[in-house]
Amino acid sequence: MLSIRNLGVRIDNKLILQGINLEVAAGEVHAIMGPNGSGKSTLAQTLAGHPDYQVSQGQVLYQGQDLLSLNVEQRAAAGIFLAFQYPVEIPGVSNIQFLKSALNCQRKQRGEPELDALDFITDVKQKMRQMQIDEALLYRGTNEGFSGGEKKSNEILQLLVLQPQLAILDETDSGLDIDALKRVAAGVNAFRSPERALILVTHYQRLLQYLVPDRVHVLQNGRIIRSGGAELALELEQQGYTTDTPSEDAPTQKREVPDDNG
Amino acid sequence: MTMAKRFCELQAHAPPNISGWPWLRAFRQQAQRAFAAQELPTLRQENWKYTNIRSLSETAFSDAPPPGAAELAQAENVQQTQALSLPGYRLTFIAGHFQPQLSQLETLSGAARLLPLKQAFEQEQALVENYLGSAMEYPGQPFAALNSARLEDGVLLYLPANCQLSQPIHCLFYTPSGPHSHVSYPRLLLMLEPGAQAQLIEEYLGDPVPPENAAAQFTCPLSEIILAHDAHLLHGKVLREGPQGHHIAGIHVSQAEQSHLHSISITLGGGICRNDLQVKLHARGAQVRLDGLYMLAGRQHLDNHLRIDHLQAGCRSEVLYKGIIDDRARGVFNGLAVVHPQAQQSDARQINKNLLLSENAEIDTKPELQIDADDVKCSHGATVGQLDKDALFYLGSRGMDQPTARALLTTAFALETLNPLSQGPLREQLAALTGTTLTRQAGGKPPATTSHS
Repeated sequence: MLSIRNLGVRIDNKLILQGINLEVAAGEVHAIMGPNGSGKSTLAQTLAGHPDYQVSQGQVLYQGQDLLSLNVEQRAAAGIFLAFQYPVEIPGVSNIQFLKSALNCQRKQRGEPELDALDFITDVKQKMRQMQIDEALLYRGTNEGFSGGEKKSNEILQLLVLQPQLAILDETDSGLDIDALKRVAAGVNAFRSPERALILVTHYQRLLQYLVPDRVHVLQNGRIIRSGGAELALELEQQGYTTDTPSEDAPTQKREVPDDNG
Repeated sequence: MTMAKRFCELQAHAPPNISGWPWLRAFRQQAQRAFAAQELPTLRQENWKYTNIRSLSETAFSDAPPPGAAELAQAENVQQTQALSLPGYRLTFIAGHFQPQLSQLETLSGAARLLPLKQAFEQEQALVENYLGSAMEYPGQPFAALNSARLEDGVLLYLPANCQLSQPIHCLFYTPSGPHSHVSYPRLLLMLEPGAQAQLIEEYLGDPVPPENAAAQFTCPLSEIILAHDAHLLHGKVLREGPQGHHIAGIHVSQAEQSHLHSISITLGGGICRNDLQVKLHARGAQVRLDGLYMLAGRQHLDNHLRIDHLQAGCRSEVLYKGIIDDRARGVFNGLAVVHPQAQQSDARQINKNLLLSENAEIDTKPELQIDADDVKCSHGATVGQLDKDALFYLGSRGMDQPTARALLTTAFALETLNPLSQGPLREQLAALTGTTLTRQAGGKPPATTSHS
């Protein structure tokens, strides 16, 4: 589904990513871990198409097409979703208006007809109940004055409504209490299927107890220095990033046989 | 011929039907002297620093004649297709002339009065004579003096104590475009006695796409608003003149104890436009909320000048003006809250926020506070910026194309000014009008404009 080859990224002429290689197949869950400043969020933002991140080298193929040639909204319509670390507050644009506008723009780009208004609202409300989000938030400004937990839950609501193929969750677990974390994880698990893939960008192992990854990658100084199975996350939790020594099992890992975890 | 000269010449033959009343003639003559005693404003005056009216003062405007059949038909069309469609009372004017056949008026019960000002001169002389000019001052307000010297028609609203009108009053002033330059001086006189309540909307409309040879038009209205104890008024003003429609207006308000004014001013089109809004909070507990929204494109120029005087203790004023400026348009915001020495426990807030959508758009913003009391809560602020890049990226990452994302954010920015309005036809229609204007701006099709620099 996603193939990142030797990706280099600059921001303000500072090199942040220095040759990332990553293969993600449909149905897989990959976790990207690493200390602050290692480039995790840069990778997430670059994949989503943030214009401030300049690709200096390499290639990204998504479902066989050149992802880097698409702009941000084209990537969204093609099925890429980034759950933001800091969801943006949009006063004056209600949550429902936001969701409807987003979904219909994507459908328009894909040449699909607009969704029936009643079907849409029924679907959204059902997913809100699933995420235990107060229905009143539908009519508030998007993320405006939401608590940290509400913002993150709202990102997952968008994920469930927009139904992308590849979801990148950027520190979605940060700032959540344990109940909120479980709700978010349950929402994401509901999204998983053999046709879809997930990239979890996180500092901590605790989200991975609820969303078990197929592969864990350690990012440091803009490079993947280690890759392994789910157990690697536990090891990092106990030993920290600094004690790691680059293993031979790095930096390029292609999964030959994806797990069936749908 | 300059406006000042032209004005003096026209004074030689004031309309006979009005000059008959000595009190009105005296009123006009006094205003004429006040006008003649002032120079027309230039950029050298602080209050007019950003608004150049030289092209206006060098145009020979003659008094607009009564409309012919063509103008009447055009006005009817504009009223049906362009104007707000509100339930309730409507008074329609073409180039300052009242049009009974395009109006909806009924006699109000008891002592309440709503009628064209010219008719009020005859039928309600005592009321008019008592209140006309009572909420305004001439010094520093040459156009208020000019309007007073030239006034012929307009609107009189008088509500006795506790009279509450449930339906809004819609005053529509249509200025037809044509090959000759005309001027009109509408005058509105609104008096609400204790406990009275009303909603009144002034709407100024021109032809959005005037013919090629359209000459400059000038409208110079003045509204006087007198609110007695506990009177409540919602006053709306919608300005949509054509690109050749110049507009210099005054709204002068005098508020008594516990009275409330909510003013919403929306400017969507015009040539050189200026609104002078002057509010005097005379007694404890008077409250005023001034909301404004301007969306300028082409080469429009809009100057919003607000002044609120807190004259006694315990009054409150709140100002939120927002602007979206595109192309080579230019906006000016000047808001001054003056807290006088005896006005302790005053609460005065002022915010002006602007979005500049093009590199050549300009806003000159100056919120000011002048505080001569020590126990007050006052704040003011102004922002000028572009659309939030993070928000644009966020919307894009959910699949919204740039035009949709920009339109969504600009609309949200604009509609904040309508939030204090209660749900109903007025709010719906102002929101719809805002949306249409933004769509037109986003589509890169601002109305045809001509240079006036």
